[in-house]
Amino acid sequence: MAEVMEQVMVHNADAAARVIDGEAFIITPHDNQIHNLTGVAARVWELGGEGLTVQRIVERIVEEYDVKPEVAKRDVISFVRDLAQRKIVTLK
Amino acid sequence: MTRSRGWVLETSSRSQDALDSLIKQASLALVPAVVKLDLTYACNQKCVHCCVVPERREDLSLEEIRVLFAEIADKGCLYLSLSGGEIFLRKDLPDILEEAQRCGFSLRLMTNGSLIPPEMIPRMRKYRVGEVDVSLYGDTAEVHESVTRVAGSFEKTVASIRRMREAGIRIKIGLIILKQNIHRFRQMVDLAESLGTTWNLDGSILRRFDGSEAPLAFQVPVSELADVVEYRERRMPDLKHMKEAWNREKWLEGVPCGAGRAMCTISPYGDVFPCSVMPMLAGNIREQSFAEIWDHSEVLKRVRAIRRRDLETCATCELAPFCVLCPGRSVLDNGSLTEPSLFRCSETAIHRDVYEKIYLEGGSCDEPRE
Repeated sequence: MAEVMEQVMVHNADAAARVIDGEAFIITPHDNQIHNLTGVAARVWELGGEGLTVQRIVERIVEEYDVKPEVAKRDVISFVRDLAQRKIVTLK
Repeated sequence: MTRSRGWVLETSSRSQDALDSLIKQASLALVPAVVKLDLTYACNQKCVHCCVVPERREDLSLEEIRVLFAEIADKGCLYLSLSGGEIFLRKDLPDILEEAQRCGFSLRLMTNGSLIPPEMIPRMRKYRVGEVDVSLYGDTAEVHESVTRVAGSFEKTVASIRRMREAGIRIKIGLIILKQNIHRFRQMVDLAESLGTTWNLDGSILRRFDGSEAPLAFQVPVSELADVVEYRERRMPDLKHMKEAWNREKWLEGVPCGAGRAMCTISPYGDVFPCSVMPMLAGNIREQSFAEIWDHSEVLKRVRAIRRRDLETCATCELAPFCVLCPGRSVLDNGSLTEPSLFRCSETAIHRDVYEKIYLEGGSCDEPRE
């Protein structure tokens, strides 16, 4: 878990993406699938565009949302792993 | 800052749901998320049912297309379809694709497949081409070419499809059903599947954009399309989902479709239309910027103002749960945005009959194929 926290989340540069009224729509080129992220999920993905570590993303989410740090950490880690598995982002 | 939205960290995993969300969200925000650009109306085939009417005006130049791409990207376009005519007749297509890639679109190419240079295929992935849609009119050269009226077109199209599949390009074959090939539609699906592609059966033929009804001579009577609709539903259930998800109050409050709200079509001459079948000119990008047209066109405002509730005949129709409303088809067929296309109504009745046959009369969509 500590290892993931130190990694930087980066958007897949080959994916087409737009944010419309707070919802993110991302099309991954390897499977031509469209993914829809809303609410906090869209925000986490958005923060991936700022070149932040997962640790920093968790901190930003805790600042912005009414959520306990341990809950944010657990959920964000699980979520960014899912995004990486779908090739929506990469963890470096 | 604390945001009040719910703590839900998940990705919508069903692509159709995500696409529906995109259209819905873009429709509400008036973002042209889905744009179709016809690059040219020139074509190397002479399909009997073609609805395109080439004009003497010049096609948009590469420079004009560059400006357009920047503008639609700025307005939020995500999906860009490039169509024609035949897009591979444009010598500058690689430059156009490169520019589209640079603007960050997910690209869909629509082609007859008979002119794709083999050396171009490996580059399609680099250009972020998500899908290539190829039209096919038969499972044999004889049937296919009775529609395209070009000898050798079948072999060329099938060869291109094979090459693209080998290169890992996703292909959807549009199986266009006409009087010439309705007797072979099952074999056409078999061919598509043997080529490793997805497919769609489409029996809807449009009159020409100049109003000529000539293409309709090749339209299979709707009553004879029941077998096609039933076959499609058994292979790719859709009507069941439509019926189960339908709610009259929500339906009445919604907009008929994303035309002019989440999508638009641009002709090779720069004319902007609400969608690919709605012949209502919203403006021309040679005279105004795309943003000016999108934000201020009176035609688009008219189209956007319509709610399903305003469609007098449709709002009370008992077939509504089975209907894919298409105001564009209404305008094309009878010149009215609000009066239904009789073709669509007949097609919808077939949807209802097929639904009842499969789901209410003891059948199953999992029945083995014939």
